[in-house]
Amino acid sequence: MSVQTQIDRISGAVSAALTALTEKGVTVPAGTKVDDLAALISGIEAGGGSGDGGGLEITSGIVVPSSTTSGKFTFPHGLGRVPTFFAFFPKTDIDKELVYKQSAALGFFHYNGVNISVFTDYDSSSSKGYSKSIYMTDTNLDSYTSNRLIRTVDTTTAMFNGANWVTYIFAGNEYIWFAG
Amino acid sequence: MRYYKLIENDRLIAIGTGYGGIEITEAEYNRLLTEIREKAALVDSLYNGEITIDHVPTEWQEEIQRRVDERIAAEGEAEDQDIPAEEALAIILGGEA
Repeated sequence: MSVQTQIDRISGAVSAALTALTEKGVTVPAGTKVDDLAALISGIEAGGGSGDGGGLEITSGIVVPSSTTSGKFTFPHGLGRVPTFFAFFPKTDIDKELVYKQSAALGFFHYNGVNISVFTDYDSSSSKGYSKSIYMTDTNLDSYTSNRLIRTVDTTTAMFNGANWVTYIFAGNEYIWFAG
Repeated sequence: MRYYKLIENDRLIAIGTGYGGIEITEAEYNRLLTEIREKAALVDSLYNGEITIDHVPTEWQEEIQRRVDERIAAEGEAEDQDIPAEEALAIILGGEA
């Protein structure tokens, strides 16, 4: 293969890369050269969001409380706005021996003003927990009402509060969350 | 993946992945996760009478005893309830009498 052919091949590849960057929403100035590629690639937004809202922005993570609690427990979601969708649930099944005399939080789901809280009930007749309760309510995620397991404190922070049903999240257990 | 720890009033509140908190390494995250779980197991064992406070590492004794005391206090409050909180809420909101 001749040197000119190699040059043409590399030039074509750079042009294709610059086109792909433009399609990803990165502004590529006229006269951009191969030396500028690395910096432009760094400008690609995570999640592929575009200016017309075609991308779906989601933040997610795992949070592990250091203490077992049924009270207020805040953790960051970092979405930058009140989420339209939020999910929170334990990564693995909660050890039944951990279930306190009241209940364990098993999950929370919110979409567009509808909330579903899932938790166990303590069965006094058998002296053990683990029958499940599902409680649905229709309030916004940032509402101050207490009849759901999660609410948002601000545009970057969520709060678990199990006090309403005295339902617990457990120390050392990993809880997965999604916000979008 | 970004790992972090949450500190409040000089106490470790949580660890996690994603946004926020004080960034830590994966190794530190795993170390703290192990420590959190060890402490939780000690709280359970002390609460259940399986061990005494002397079995807890000295540097952890104050924290473990405090958490056991908090658990006892919380369950004592729960036992004082005549009806489950969910039923009480239903009554307040106009459900069954």
